[in-house]
Amino acid sequence: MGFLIRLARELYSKDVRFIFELLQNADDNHYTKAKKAGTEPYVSFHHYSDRVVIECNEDGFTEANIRAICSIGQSSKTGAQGYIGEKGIGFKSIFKVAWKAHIQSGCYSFVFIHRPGDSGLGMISPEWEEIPEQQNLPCTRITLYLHENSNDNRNINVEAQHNSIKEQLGGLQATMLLFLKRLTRINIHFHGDDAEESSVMLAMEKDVSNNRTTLGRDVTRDGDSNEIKNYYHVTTHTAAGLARSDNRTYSQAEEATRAYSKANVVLAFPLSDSSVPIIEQQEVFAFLPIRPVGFNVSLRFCPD
Amino acid sequence: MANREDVVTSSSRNVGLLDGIADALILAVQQMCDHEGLQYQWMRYLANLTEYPWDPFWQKLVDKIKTHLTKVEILRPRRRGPLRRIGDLSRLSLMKSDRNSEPLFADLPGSQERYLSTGYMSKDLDILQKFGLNYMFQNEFLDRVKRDLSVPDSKMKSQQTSEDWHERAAEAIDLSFTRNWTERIADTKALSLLPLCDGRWVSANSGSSFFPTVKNEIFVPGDLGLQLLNPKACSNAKRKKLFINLGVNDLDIKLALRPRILNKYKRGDLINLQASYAHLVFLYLTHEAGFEDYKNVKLYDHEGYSYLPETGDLYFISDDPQSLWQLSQTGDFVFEGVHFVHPQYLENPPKQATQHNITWKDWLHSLGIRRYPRLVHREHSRLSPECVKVAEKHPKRFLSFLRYAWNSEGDSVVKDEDALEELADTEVCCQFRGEEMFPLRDSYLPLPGLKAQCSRLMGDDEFFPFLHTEEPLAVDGDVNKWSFLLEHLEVKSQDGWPFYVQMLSCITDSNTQGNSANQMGRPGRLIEIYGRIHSRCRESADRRAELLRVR
Repeated sequence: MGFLIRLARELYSKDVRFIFELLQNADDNHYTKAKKAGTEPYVSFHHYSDRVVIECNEDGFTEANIRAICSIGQSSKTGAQGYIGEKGIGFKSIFKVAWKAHIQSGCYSFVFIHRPGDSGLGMISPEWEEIPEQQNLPCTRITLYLHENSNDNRNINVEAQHNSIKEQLGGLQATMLLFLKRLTRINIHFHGDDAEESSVMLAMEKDVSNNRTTLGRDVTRDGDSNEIKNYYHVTTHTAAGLARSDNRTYSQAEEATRAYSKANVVLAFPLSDSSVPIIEQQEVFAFLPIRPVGFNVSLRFCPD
Repeated sequence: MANREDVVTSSSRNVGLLDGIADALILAVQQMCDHEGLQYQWMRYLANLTEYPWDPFWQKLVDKIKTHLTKVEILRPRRRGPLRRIGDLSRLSLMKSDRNSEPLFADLPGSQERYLSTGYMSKDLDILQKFGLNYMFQNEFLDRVKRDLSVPDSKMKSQQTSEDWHERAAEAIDLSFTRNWTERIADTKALSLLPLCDGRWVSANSGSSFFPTVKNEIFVPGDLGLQLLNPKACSNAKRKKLFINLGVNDLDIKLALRPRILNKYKRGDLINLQASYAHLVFLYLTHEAGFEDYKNVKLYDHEGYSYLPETGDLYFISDDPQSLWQLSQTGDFVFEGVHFVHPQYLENPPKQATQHNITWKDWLHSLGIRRYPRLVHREHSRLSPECVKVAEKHPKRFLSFLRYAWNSEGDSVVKDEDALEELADTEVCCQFRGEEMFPLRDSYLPLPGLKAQCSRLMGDDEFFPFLHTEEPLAVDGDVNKWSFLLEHLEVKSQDGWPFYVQMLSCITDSNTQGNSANQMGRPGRLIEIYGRIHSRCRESADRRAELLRVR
């Protein structure tokens, strides 16, 4: 049975990890307003030739969030359950592919600018950005302005980056949703010069009483739609009695509650629509998809 | 800097997470066991768990999963009750199943059950063998056999149970022996697996048991004080193999069985008709040429009494009209001291024995059953009572009877002068209207030549002592049949002068008696008669005057 190394892995590079960082961010947000309105928590990626726009129907940035996003060492994420790691610098990974990030949330509108060779201050110092219309967005929007070919960007393979981003976005699988806490929808839209060319809609529905989860992946291209559904038995379990992580420092609050001693384990077992086990080689997810190690279930846990 | 691309395998936190993953997996299995279909299929997710070449870190997880799985209740038993642990239940091999793949023996009750639900597919159970699921062990199997033997609706003991079931059960039980498992052998020998003729079931430890037939077809009589197996159970080769392993032996015909039977007769044991028949069949089928010591064997007569052939004459019931049986039936009387063998001995005769050529009937004769009626008394020097009775009660058939018996018994009569005399003096039936009785020694064979002379020279109402033979005689050929009468009993067949003298005498007698006194017809014939007497006398020199009767 040997295990397969998915082609996507070969294309994987640290350049596009920002996608996963952003997804994690979105998942860490709160969606009380969306819940009250009866809508599913979602995040959408809109891909343009020169930019990527990320939208999310979370409750909105608070002042604390803004401080966190500007800081180096602290995180506003509550508790050691956060999966960002790397001390809150995760969001900064966008600057591998973009020179400007415009964040709009509620009435906030600000940008971070960092070009290759800049000091790095731009990463942590937001600038207010006026926007033409009075804004009151129902969601949070992040617009990433992608690197372009120029003298400044001599060391960056812009074309390869653009391709990589498109490929990663297009290759997102609904299985990601299994391991997110709150998001149940991920939508990816690819826009040409004039209009939307294609989209990928990922959706998850849970039947908690039966431990049954349905994942849908709907691909639309030139008006034609093709949906694939996959079914899983999902088991969640809290691992306890864990030692501290060597790579993290914990806040006083985290130490007091010993929140680090627990971790969520999520197992997903693929089934047919008639609930017969499907046995295939699957990946072991560890925040980021890593090489498959032979399990035919998807695991999700927090390694160091 | 932590390597974000792979799992750090040395961190104690990650190692601790492995327990969490193992626990999550067990929890998942337990959830799946609540689901109608998944409860039989969840193990497919673990199919290659144990075979895959894991690195040491992930191998720890595999080991934890293996350990945890054995400790939780995740398998459904056949009776569909609460879930059980892997070690609590067993797979059922083909050898321990009947032809419908049902277990041969019922499961133990309650939580002692071990049979798995039929909902699992074989290939899925194969996966579980890596986690400690085993096929049922022989001792567990024997526990179920033991239970079956102890319940009222035992499968082993039921009459309805098929031959196929018995064969499979025998082979499965016999495994203790074929694999030479010492402790299992001891367990098996303690089980009451031997079905006896009398309906009991005994174990190998309860004294010697024997096969009920010898040389395949010959049944051992059941009243010899031997523990015999039920023949129906022994016809199957696989069952027989088990029985042999359980210590059942063959009996030796010559050294054990025949002597046992004959000793019963020597001792005078009570033996009923059924047993007698069974003994005789056995002795016949196992008879060896030259063996002669059956002198104690008794047989039953048709009235239900047993006799030694030595002490009481025994005959077969026969259709032959000359047989004593027919004679006693048609005459409605009884021959004293004569007994007829019970018809049961001939009703279902055994097949011809293969080790000798003697027929069943002939062999019975060899025990002492007579073929021909006795003519001379057993002890005394005179005619047997049978002979006398036949002469008395069946005068018309007496001659035929005599001829019938003479083949065998003639010599004994001839040897005994007194009997011979008595026989010759016996009055027998002669031909004349009704039955006219006349002493044998003075009577004549009804040869056509003689009869012609009589009809010429005598009247119809004048009696001449021609013997009444049931069939008329042709010219001379028939004399041979009756030659014994002529040779030994002084019956006459010649037309010598005694013939004519007799004629005269008869004429005289019939004319001096009764009606026709002084009215003898055809006086002329007397002349001829005398003439013939005279010429005959002259022809033979002897015997003259004393034989001339006085008129």
